[in-house]
Amino acid sequence: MAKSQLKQLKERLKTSGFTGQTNAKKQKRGRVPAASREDKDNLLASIRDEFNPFEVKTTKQKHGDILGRRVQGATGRPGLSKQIGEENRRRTLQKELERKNKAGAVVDRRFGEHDPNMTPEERMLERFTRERQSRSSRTSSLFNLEDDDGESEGLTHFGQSLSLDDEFTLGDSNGGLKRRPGDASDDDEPERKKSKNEVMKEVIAKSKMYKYERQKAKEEDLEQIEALDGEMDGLRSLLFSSSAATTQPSEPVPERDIEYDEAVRELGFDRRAQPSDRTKTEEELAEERVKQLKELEDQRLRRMRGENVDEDDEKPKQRAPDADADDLEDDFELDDAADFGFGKGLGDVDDEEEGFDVESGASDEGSDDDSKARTKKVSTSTNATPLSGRRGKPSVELSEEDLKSGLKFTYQCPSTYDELLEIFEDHGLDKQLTIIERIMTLYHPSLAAGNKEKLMKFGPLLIEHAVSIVDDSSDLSEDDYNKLVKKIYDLTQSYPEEMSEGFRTQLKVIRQRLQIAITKTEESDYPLPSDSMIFVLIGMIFSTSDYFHLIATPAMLLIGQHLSQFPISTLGDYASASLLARVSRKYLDLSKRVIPESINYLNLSIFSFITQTAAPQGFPLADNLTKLSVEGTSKGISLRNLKISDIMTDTPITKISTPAERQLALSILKADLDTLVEFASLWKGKDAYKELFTPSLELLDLLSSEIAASKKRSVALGAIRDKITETSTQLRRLIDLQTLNRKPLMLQQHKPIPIPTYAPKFEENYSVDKKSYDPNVQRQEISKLRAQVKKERKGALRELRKDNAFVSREKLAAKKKKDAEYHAMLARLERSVASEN
Amino acid sequence: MPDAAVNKKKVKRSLTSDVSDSPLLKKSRSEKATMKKSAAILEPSPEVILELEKQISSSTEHYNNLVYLLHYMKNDDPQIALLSATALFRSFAKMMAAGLLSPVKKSLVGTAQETVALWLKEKYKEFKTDLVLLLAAEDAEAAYTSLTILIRIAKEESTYLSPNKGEYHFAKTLLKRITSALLNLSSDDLLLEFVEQYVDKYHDIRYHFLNSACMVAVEQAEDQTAEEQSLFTANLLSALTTLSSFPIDSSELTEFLVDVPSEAKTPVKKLSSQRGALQDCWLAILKRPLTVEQYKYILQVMHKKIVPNINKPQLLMDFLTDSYDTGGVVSLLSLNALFLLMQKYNLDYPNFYTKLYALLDRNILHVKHRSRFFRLLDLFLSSTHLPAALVASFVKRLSRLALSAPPSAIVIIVPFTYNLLKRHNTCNLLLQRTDFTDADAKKYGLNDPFNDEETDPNHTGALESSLWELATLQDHYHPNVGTLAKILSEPFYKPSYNIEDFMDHSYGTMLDAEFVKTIRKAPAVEFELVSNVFGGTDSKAYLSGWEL
Repeated sequence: MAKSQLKQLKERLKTSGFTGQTNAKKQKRGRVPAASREDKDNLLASIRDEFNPFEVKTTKQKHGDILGRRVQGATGRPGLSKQIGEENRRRTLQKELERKNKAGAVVDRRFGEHDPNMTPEERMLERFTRERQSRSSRTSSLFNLEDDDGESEGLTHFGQSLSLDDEFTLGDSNGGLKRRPGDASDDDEPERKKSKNEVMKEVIAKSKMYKYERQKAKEEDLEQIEALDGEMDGLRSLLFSSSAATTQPSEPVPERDIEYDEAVRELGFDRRAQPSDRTKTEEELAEERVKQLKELEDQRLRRMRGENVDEDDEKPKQRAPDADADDLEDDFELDDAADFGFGKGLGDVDDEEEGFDVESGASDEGSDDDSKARTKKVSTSTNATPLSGRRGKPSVELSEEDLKSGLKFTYQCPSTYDELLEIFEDHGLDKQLTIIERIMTLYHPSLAAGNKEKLMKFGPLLIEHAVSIVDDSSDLSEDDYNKLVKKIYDLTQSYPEEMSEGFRTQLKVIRQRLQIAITKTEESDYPLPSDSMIFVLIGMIFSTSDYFHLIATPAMLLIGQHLSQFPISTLGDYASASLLARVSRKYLDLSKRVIPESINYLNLSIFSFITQTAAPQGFPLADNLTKLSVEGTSKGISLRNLKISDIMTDTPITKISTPAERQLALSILKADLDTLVEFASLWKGKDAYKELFTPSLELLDLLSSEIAASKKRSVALGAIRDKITETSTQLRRLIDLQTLNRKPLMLQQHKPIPIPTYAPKFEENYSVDKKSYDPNVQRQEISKLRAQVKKERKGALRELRKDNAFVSREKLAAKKKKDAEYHAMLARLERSVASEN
Repeated sequence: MPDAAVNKKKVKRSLTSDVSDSPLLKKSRSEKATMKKSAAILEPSPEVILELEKQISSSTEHYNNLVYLLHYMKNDDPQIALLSATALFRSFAKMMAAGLLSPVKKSLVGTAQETVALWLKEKYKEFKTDLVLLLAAEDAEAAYTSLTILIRIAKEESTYLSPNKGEYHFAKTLLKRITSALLNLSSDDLLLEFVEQYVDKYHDIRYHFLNSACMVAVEQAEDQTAEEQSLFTANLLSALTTLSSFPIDSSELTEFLVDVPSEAKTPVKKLSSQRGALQDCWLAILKRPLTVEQYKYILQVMHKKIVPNINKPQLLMDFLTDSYDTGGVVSLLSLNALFLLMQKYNLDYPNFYTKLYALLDRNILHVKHRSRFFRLLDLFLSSTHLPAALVASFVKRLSRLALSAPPSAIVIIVPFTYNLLKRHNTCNLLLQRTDFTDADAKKYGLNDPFNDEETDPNHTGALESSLWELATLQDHYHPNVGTLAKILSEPFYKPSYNIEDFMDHSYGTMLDAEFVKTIRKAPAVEFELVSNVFGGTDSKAYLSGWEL
């Protein structure tokens, strides 16, 4: 328990020796020295201060009583600390202030002045000997400057010695100047690190020297100019008196000389021949190619996984952060589906255009004139600007053959599809390719400005052309078609944006046509070869394995819609669906993703050959499904490859009668079985492999048992019997193999989600003094440091603020003093004047 | 007023009756005037009609003009016909107000006045018959005007021709004739006009319309051909579904064509009788033969238009349970109303979940009413008291179906599954099974413990299985679907997904979403072009097995 103030004071006085009787006599008797009296006064003053309650300031704690413990606020002596601070500033800051803007100062360089180890006597003695020595060494007069030896300072200017013979001082001006006489003896000691002050001085000296030099140069220039100005009058008189005479001789400079001069100048500017890279060896080239391919493949893989290849890539929309327990979860405006990038949806339920029982008028899109028929297709570009003249005529050789066939050297770059057709006239595809090549040469972007734009328009027209010519594929050669595709591919690489837009336009056209065909709102010739061909082109040209792809994704959706919603009624429909299923398989070649619609179609394809109505589970079945009726014998029918033109066949699948039609139907089935096997090998390793392919297997078994059971069926489907058996064995083996190692899912192998708790955090051993209960030591250390830094920073700021206040206070005081002096002076003068009067 | 039950033969006879045949005409005192007017028969014009009307109102001796006006009503020129119809209406309205058409007083029996009154009544009857016939006129305006006049006549009749003087009366007979005529028309335009203009507006008209429609339906059921019957049914159905403002509370019953005195006791003022009329009418429809479309349509509107507005929805139970047992789309559609009955009217439906489970057939994800069904399914499975085995069966079944579903349906199933799994923690086994040894591989792998054929959702063994199908769909070709399916392998932080947001997608909307994207960055191009498009037998070509 603390003692009372009075008791404390008494005790303090006693310990300091002011009160108490023990040694009083002795003390009194003893002489008290002046210094100790002073000390005593100081001591007394400090004791007085200590016990002065007005000096002590305590911050009041808001909660003084914590868990039964009295917590004291911080105590301090603001008066005292203020005073100390003031004194410190007076000692340092004021000195600086006084020295501010003052260049020179008296530096005490007397020997030993700052050496605390020397007594004043020693100092004096040493100084005296030195003086004597320098006197005695000096031979001539006291004022002989030349004879000054290195010991003395010598004359300097801007920190540089003015003695001319002293190279050492010139090179190291500072050394000579700064070196104190005491430690000047060792020249060869390693150069000591310069203090900041010295460095600054050096810099200042240098800059001053440069300034001086500049000044000097300028002065010289001025002098010269003045001199020239002085001569000007004379020159002028010369110029005006014989201007004709003087210009004459300068004119006939020989042509050759000029040329020569030019040649020389050119040679001067000429780039020196550089050694070129050496020719690479085969291995190196191959290696480079492999490296490049690997890089491209890496990029493709990243795209396939949906990662961003470039930083500037548009990011797939980040899903909204998962809701916390605190969330109120009244997200009436948030659309969960929008997080996944789905569109707005239909909005109204009843308008849904999907499903088997599509009723007429369900589609709200597909405006009439846009989607009539392919003959009146939407052209990608409409503004046909006739080209005015051709610049930069490139050399295109015109062979005799060309002349015969009516090919021209040059063509205008078409900007609409009609113009393109006009140019192609009746030429065959091989001639058209030549024309295309010529147009691409003529309008190469390097030849003229604006060519690039023309080619950008030309590309989409080529797509349209490549798609639509397959409708009449009788006189097309596959090689030529490949070349055409190559051309489109090249253009797509050069102008990806424009060509993509072209592909998209084509897709939109197909979409409208499909829509009409499904809803049957109008007459439709929908599945034309051209309608399927665009998907083939997209699959070949674009990287369809990408997770997000602006062209491939809608194309896949369209394929899916066709396969699941477009009813098959003719052999042509059947062939086109078969083609699309195959194309969808090619799209997924690398990404190995799943497309249920294709498998559904393949199942339906097999099922349509089965006469019985009960179908195994696992795929949707429309009520109004029309089945294939293959009558008659298939003996002698060989299964053939399918042709694009087969899509044009409009025999209803219920009326297959001729052998050619039977052959087509069976060939399509064969193609579908091939596709099925390809899918089966593609999706190895999928968890639901068994569920994906069991329906197909059951269907195949059903079909083969039907063939085996019925004589009529076996005659009709004999040609494909082996294929069916082969496919089913293959499929069965694959299914068994794939399901053997199937394990239950372990998708939720995460840390268990903690149940959010709202209980207050309670510390078992709470202490008022403990600042942090962080179990992580490192983090605790860091936060401690951080707190320290913060504290220091605040302290520093406070000090700076006080400094500023001090400085301004001092300045004000100085000014006041000056003013007062001035007034006093004036008053004095006034008085003196008054008294004189 | 004597009851004038009209049949077609009678109408025909009155049409053929000649003006000059009328015995009254000869007896009348104004023979000369008639002869003079005979010229007007040949040339009817608006002025003449107006003149005739004026004469009728001026004195009783011009009553024979009615005969001419009735004749004009059959004129080919619709304007003349309508004008004369209007003139006749005005004349008869005045007579009604004067009491000339009321039953003859006993004191006047045998007098000339009685003869005149009887003659007038006959003409009036003839006029009404002609007007009803005009409803079938090809000219829409004529038909509409005659309808308007008929309604006004009904109003006048109800006011003046009450059998007991001063008591509330409504011209039911006339309304029944109108109703019958409208319901047998070949197009329902006029009928719908009638429903919108009068039936929806006046509560007494609605009541009597519904009553008479019900009566007509029963009466005509026998002597109609199949074609007429289906026409009648279609008309009645469209009329009933157009009814938009059926009262919910008796306080709404304020607007009447014929003013109802506050002390009068009439069913028109009672909500229960209104509802009863509607109920009878609907039951009458349901008893008639219906086409599949009509059947589906009724089921579709049942929970909104029928069940809330009739007295005894329990009467629909049999109809609904039968529909529910039918299977397919009909079952789906009946689900809504059935649920309403179960919820509000204590309908106990045994094996409801078994039936519901059976609805998840191969085509459920492909039909038009998919989202409607899923809304209800969400509701039915929302209880946390359902056994885990049952919920697991539904989830597993849906997952099976998803494997052959269009992307728009997968989009529904995934968040739906998420919500169910979140709600029923036990079912998380479908996604995460740790109590499993390699020895069990055969049990879990090769043979899915889930029995596809089992119809009882409690015994399918789905809890032993896993959702391999949905896991496979994480690799769906549509990137957004794939991403959505991946929520099943992420921690289940979100309390639930709002199913409604995922309902209304289709290929169309997904394509729209794709096509509105702008090409900001060029799509990636294949870095090596396959040299051949068509391969035939060449397996390296893009399309092997195809030729140009």
